[in-house]
Amino acid sequence: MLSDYAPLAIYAVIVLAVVGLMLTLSFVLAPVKRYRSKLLPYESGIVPTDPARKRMSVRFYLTAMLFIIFDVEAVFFYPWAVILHQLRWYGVIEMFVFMLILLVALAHIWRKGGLEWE
Amino acid sequence: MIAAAQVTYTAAQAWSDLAQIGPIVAVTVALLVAVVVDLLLPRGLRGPVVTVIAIVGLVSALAIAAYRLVNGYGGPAYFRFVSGDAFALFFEMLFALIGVLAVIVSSSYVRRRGLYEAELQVLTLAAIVGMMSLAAAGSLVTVFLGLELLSIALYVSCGYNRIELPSQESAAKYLIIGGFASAFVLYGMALIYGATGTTVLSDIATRVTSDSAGNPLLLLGVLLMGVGFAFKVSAAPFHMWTPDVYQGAPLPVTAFMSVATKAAAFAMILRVFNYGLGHLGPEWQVLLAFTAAASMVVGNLMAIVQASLKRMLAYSGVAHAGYILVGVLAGGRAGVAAVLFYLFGYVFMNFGAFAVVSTLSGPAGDGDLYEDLNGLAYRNPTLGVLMSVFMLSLAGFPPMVGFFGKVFLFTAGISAGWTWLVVLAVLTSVVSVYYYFRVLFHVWSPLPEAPVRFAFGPVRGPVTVVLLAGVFAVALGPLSGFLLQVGLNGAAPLLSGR
Repeated sequence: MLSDYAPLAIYAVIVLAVVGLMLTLSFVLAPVKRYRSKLLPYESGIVPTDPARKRMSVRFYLTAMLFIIFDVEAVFFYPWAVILHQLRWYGVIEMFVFMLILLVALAHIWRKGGLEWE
Repeated sequence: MIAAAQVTYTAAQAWSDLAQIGPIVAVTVALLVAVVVDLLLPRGLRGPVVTVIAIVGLVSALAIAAYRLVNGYGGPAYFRFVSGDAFALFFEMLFALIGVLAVIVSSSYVRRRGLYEAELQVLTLAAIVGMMSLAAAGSLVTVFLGLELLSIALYVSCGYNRIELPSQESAAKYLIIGGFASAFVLYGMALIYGATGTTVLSDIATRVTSDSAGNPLLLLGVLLMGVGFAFKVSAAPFHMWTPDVYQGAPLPVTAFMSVATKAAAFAMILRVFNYGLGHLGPEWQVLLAFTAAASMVVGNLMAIVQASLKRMLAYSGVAHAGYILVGVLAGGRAGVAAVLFYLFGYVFMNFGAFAVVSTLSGPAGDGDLYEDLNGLAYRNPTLGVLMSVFMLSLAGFPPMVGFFGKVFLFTAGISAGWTWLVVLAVLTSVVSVYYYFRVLFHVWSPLPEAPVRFAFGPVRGPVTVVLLAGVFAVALGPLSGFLLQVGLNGAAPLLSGR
């Protein structure tokens, strides 16, 4: 019932109160000194060499995307492996059909140059 | 710990299940062969060979579906996750037919526009596999699988002309809105599963009774799925993406998308709402009635002011989604059969109209302004006459198929008590006559003095398709009794046990 969740609600209120208190205290009590080296993006003493807004190659997106697709497909092997002894030969054949389809996809990517880096 | 049920799955069962999804298998095999062929053959041969393979695959799917329909072989398969019933077979034949037309039109179009041929055909095949799975779905899981397969293939097809900005815009908009709609559908499905404990539609149909109407999970599920479905059939107020996507996508893709996606989405609505959640009728009917009314008004009024033929046809598609929803709302044998009949006729008239527009495109771009049609009847009499047939049919003039379709939909609507909606539908179709006749005005206007923007290239393929679609659009009128009978057969599986 709803009353079962009362401890959770109390807990949430306490968390919010403590966090709010800590943030407010540090905001009020902490000394604030603003000078140049403190406002740099990376505060630990390393001097920035060039601006952060520069162009980066996102060439890896294609590889990453292909990896994720095949990764997700490969997940289907786990439940299949668990119940293989129930599925018998039907399951084996079915999985080979599935792998054949994946293989066609891989051949397509390979041949069309999806795996070339340069 | 749940004890796993021992499932015995015999070889005979495996073969019979495979036969139930025969048309889907045929298209899938064609798809895989096409991909391999595209990799192995020399460059010049790839396009034509892939096109031929696609046509062979689709025609064999059509033949298998027709054979099984005639012999009444349909039934559930794969633990009721898929069904090869008459409803599925009807739609599988429809998608195979559209597929053949689309493949022929695309083949000629990509050559004229200088695009790569093979991959577009493969994507079309993938979309058709998705649509067929959607029509054959026996479970919410299969519904979502089919929905995603068709959507993802179409997102890519929309951006196929990737050096052109409108095509990119079309793909991006469709991807974002389509992904959004899919998320709605999926969340709705999750809630339905939460309320009923099953994804199999026939189980949902027995577990959801009219008593469970108060269950908030079910109501929220219906609402979310209804919103997602309305996005997919491009019904107002969820139609905003339609004109932009239709305008930017390559013309054959637009033509294919405008008819096939709509038919697939309506198959999904009929399966899930009319069959699975039939007892919750009063709940989803409120939602769909509002959407239907909004679609008819918005679609017909917005179509009037468009300058581009693609956008006009997009809004006309919104309006037609509204008409078809009347049949969905009416439900029952008559309503579902009317929906099937209308979809079958609509496919040919709308695809034909788009195919005519596609002949106007050249290397420079697509000719989709009303002015590009000027004097078409004198430049190419066949196209001119058939464009008039399609427009008259879309406007609902007898003896075209569009007239009979509207008659069946509206009579079903009235006998189910949706009189106000039918009155609105009739009034708005009167409005639609204006913009359809505006096309006729340009087609039959005298040849322009200035040279026409687009001369005809090698368009034999599209002309064949236009002829085929024209023959269907005219002949289905007198044959409407037969087609309605097929539709009634197709409706039967959705009504069993009720």
